Amino acid sequence: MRVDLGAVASFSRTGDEGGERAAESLETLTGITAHCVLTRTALVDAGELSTFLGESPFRFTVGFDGALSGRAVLSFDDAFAAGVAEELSTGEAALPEVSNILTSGFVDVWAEGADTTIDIEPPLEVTDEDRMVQDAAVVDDCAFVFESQVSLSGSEGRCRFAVVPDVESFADYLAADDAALSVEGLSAYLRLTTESAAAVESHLAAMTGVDADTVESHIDFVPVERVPSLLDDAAYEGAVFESEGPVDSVIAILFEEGESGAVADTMLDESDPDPALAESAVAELGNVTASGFIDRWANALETTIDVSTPSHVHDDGRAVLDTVAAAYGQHADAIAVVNTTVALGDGLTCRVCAFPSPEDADTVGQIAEQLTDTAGESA
Amino acid sequence: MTVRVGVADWRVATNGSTLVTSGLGSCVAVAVYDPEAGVGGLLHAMLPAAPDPVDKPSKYVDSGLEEMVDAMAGRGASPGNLAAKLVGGSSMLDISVGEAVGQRNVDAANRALDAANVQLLAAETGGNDGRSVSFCPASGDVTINRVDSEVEVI
Repeated sequence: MRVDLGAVASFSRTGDEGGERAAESLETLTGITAHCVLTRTALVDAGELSTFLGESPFRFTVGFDGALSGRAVLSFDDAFAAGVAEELSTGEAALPEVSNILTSGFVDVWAEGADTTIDIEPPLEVTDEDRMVQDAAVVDDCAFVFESQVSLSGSEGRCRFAVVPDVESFADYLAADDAALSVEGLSAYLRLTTESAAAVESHLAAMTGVDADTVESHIDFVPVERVPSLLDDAAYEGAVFESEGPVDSVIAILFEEGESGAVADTMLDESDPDPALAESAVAELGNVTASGFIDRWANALETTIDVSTPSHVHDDGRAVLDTVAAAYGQHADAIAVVNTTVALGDGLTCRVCAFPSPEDADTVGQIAEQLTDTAGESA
Repeated sequence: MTVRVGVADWRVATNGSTLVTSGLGSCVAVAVYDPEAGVGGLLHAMLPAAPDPVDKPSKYVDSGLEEMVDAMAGRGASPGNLAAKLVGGSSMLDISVGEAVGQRNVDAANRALDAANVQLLAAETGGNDGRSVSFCPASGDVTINRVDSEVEVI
């Protein structure tokens, strides 16, 4: 199975330009500097789409039709909603207007790419979750989402802006592209995330004796400079590994701590452990998790993949990913990220970001195909 | 007003605004300002040198600095009055993908500032820690935050 990551890169770049154009449109409307803080092309399990899109008290959908059809789902957090309401002096009536302007900015870039127009419909407040996602571009239980997050200078909060194209329209749009992508080929990648999330969940639970639950897992295709935005700027403790063999990759196993030292406390039966011992415990937990994760890939190829000695990190999550992104950025414009979030008990969240080398895309495709063929056998 | 600067991004602001950027690992933040005009710019660059042709100049130290300094001149800064401060370029991970980027970014920033005749007043670079930066163009102060460390101002 050949997945052309160069074509994915081109596609991600269009999504990125759409997010930037949406932010510029918002800046024009409000007169305040707006930033597109994240854009990504995500492959999401269709059953998890509602969870991926998230909950918010202020949500609107904006349908669009033409060269590409589908809908944008806009979620405003309280701070963002209050900020735009104040700036535009129209109260909550500002949100449909902002929804309209963001969607218009985004689809303009796609319409230019297709050399035709895309018409947008009036914004509708979300009242029915099922209706929101029913026509999503779902192929083999995999949904395609183009997500941007936009913020305004001087105010906290964000607007999460997810574009979910209709399946037939999306396939037609791809087919019209010179560097056409196979929707089916991409969707097989999603099998990597479900298998990898299951491995993370089971190994974390076995190592700690604490309940582990996958919150969410999906694949992101992002321009390298957007990689750091996949995490927030909270402090994370964890370990970063490299795998070597048929697939070279970098794997970051990072724990967001409710309280400092919580990871080591979960592993060790003593309070306030020696720092070296605590670091070793975190590395061991990361090592077992990364190995379990990579073993599923290796088993699919009936081979072995070695995992390196880890780099221990206790730092701003974005700074960790910034370093990984810069390393890959020397060779690639965009990269695939296997992105998994697992809750460990009540106080810990484990974020796993795996970056298969773009040069090994063919082998990753083989793994995805094999895991798809054996779906359910390892459950 | 606080203006956020993303990765592979630069922003220019005038007196009264603060420019902030977070999550500097091997990336560098280059703060440039004209103290007389009260105009400042902050670049968050990921890689040292732009290819030719360059698709996204702000991703690279050399092309990003050139683009930002041009924009500052457009907002009233005088090229002869510019001063700079430099932060970032850490080596927090021992990974073999590509060449180590942090120090190369720092070296590229020094070369690019030299080429633009911008005096480097202070730098806080290298090491193994991530950094976040807040830059006030009016004073020229660059405030550096790290996880579990004292705040530092250069």
